[in-house]
Amino acid sequence: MSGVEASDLSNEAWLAGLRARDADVLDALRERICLGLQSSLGHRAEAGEADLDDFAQEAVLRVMDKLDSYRAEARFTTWAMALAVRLSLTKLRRRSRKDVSLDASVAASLTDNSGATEAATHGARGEMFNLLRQGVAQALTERQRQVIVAELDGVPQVVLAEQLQVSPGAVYKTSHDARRKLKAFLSDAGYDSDTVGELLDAR
Amino acid sequence: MTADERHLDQLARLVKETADEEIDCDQFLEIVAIFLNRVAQGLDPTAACRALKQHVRVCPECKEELLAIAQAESVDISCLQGEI
Repeated sequence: MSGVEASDLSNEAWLAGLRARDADVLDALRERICLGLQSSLGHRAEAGEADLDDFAQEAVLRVMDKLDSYRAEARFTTWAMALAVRLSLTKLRRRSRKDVSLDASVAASLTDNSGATEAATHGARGEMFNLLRQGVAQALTERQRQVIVAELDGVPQVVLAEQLQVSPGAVYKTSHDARRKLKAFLSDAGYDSDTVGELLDAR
Repeated sequence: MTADERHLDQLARLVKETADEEIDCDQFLEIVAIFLNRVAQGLDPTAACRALKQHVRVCPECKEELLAIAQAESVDISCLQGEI
């Protein structure tokens, strides 16, 4: 048990204590993060108690590294917890899916026109889906198709980024560019966002 | 719904929620604590908060993180139901 109660510390006290590398404050931060991770991730089968302890320890180091980027508009502990959750979930995502062998059925769903007849039986919604398939086939680059398929297949962004040897930010940008192209493709065909929403909700 | 339709439905929803300008996952991490503190205090959303809500509608990983941070910090975000 540390000699500092986390709930007693102000944002300024956290910063001062951590900058001074006060052992009690460091212990209080680790305990606070550990409790938060147990509360938010402890129910997951893939996250054991030892994992959460390790994540909390690493998160303290991450917080120390990022201390200068803390902005006082947020509570310090919420900011630290955000870093801890990002670190922990990134590790769990890496562990859950080490490669990007994609489910071929996802790619087929998005590009295979043999499904078009089936979808067309569902009226306007099916027509929109067929158009979306056309957009994926015609409007996207190969890399954009790859990222969209991986996203729908549940491949974690960090795993895909490592496979493609780019940053996670670059993967996000590729996905965003692809979605914008598809949105424009649908819009040009008369399917604006409101129409798409109505068709999706009309099931 | 067939698997084909499920994937197309998912993609159509992502496309529908796409904005011309979006924050990315690093920018999400920079502002999520501010966002949650504002939600906890019942303060009006800022433009950055609106951008964060849009981001989690198109990024399931950041949505997962938002829910986990809120749980860890005991912030009730049920008021955001339907928005994220």
